[in-house]
Amino acid sequence: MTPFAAPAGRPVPLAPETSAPAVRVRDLSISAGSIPLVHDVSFDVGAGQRVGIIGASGSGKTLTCMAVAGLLPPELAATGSVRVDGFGPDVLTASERELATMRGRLTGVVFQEPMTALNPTMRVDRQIMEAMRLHGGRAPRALDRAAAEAILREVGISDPRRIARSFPHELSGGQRQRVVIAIALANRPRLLICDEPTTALDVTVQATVLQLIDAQTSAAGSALLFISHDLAVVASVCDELLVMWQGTIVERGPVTTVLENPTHPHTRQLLADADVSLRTESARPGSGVP
Amino acid sequence: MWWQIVRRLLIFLVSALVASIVVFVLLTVVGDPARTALGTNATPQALAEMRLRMGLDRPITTQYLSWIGGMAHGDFGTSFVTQLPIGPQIGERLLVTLWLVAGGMVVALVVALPLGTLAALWHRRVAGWILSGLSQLGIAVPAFLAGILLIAAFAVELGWLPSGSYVVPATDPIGFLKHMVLPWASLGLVQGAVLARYVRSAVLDEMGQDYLRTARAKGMTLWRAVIRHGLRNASIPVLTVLGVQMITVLIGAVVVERVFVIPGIGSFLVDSVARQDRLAVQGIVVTIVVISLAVSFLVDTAYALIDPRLRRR
Repeated sequence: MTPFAAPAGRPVPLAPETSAPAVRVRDLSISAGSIPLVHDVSFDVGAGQRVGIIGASGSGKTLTCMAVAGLLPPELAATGSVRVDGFGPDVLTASERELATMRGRLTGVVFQEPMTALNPTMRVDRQIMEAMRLHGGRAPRALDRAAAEAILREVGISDPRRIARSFPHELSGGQRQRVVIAIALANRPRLLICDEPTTALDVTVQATVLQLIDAQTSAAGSALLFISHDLAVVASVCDELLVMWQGTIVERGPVTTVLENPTHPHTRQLLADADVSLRTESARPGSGVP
Repeated sequence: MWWQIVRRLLIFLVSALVASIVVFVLLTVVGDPARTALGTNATPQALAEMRLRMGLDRPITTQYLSWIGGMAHGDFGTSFVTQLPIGPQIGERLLVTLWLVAGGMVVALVVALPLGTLAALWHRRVAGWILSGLSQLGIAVPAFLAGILLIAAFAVELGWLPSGSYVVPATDPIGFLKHMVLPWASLGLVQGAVLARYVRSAVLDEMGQDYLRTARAKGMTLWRAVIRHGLRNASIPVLTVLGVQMITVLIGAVVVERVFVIPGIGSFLVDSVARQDRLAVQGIVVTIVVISLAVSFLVDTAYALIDPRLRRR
């Protein structure tokens, strides 16, 4: 599963076809001291499936995803279980050393803020090569560089040679997010986690980055866990939808079902908000809010 | 990048020039150097003779220009008190102090980098608090006290190392090292303790940065991510403190030089002041100022080497 980087093109073959879900979350609760932040969250993301989580800020969607990615801050306590396909131990109880073998290989993460997600003092190609080398063993530098440039080309960078030799501050926000996506998908993970990947981008760039995530997850055969507060964005990428509110999942189902027949008031509120922002209709006060 | 270096070099030269004028005005123009040299009981005749010898009869600008022009060629003048040329003495004493400061700062770095980084990585654990407490203790101890304690332990009690004096490294390298271990340790441990706190807070800052989370998301452990990605970014604030510390140590070295009987530039300055040796004091102060400015220049240039964002503009 972790062969050497090929001189060009994808360094790792497609994620293997398995029937096991890419991730299985059971009774996940997260708390900071005595303050509960996430409560009894359970869901699966099947192999190659695309699940969106929507909810307002503070609903616990980001924490849930960080728990899945094995990146929860140590000051938070988590109970329940998170199983990632191909990773032996439970993510919640695994050691940092064990988690390091999972992160980047079985899971990849695209963060919200591309401006700060890359190391400002390291050239882009080294940051990409590092992701490949950590799990793919050592390959000659020139080959790695060619692979890094190939990956940059795949994520839609038109001038990969120049961008590869650039520092992050020389890139636009959209270019940086493409680099982050390239890093996240460098090893073709079973699961790609995207935490509001387009929120910080210009409206003009949002659509193309979204298409890129869509196309690249398909190409890599990865499952997708996609967080957003924007229903329209989630609807365009995902098949399944989880609605989180105050740390719990209040509604779930196929995207079309949830959007057409929302049962929870919070979902209706989100739909109403989306209506306002999408169609610039006047707000309908009181609709869906108890 | 090159333009920045040229610009900083110009700032360096202008600052050095301004500093030399200030030093000259304070020591030559203000008061009467001839009277200072001869004392209050000097006869008017002797004073007039002395003024002539010192060249004080010339216009002030001429005096300044001949002094600064001489220094540019390494000629710091001849002392009217000891009758010795000042330049070679400054050179000799400076070399001793530079050895002392350089070794002390190396010890400080060797102490501070691991101590500060570990304290940051372990900031939620007892071990981290203990490391922080240790550095706090080091800060509370002044360098001269550390020196006296080290002498009491390693020179007097155990007799492993000499308690003081200086050996020229070219003639006896082993003896030089033996004599420098305790001075280096007393400077380095104290400065290292201070520096460790800055290293800790700089590394902690970087640990909260998004790019470090990205590095972990790639498959690095926290430790590896901090070492590979965090330290370089953390070194920028640490370098600022290091530069300031080097200057402080250069000036404050006199205390350690006194404790260990090392003939450095600090002792030379104190002796020259005691001797009312105006020309020597002028030369020493300007030398120290120029070295301090050079350290600032090097630190500023190093920023750009570390952080590519500072290279343009």
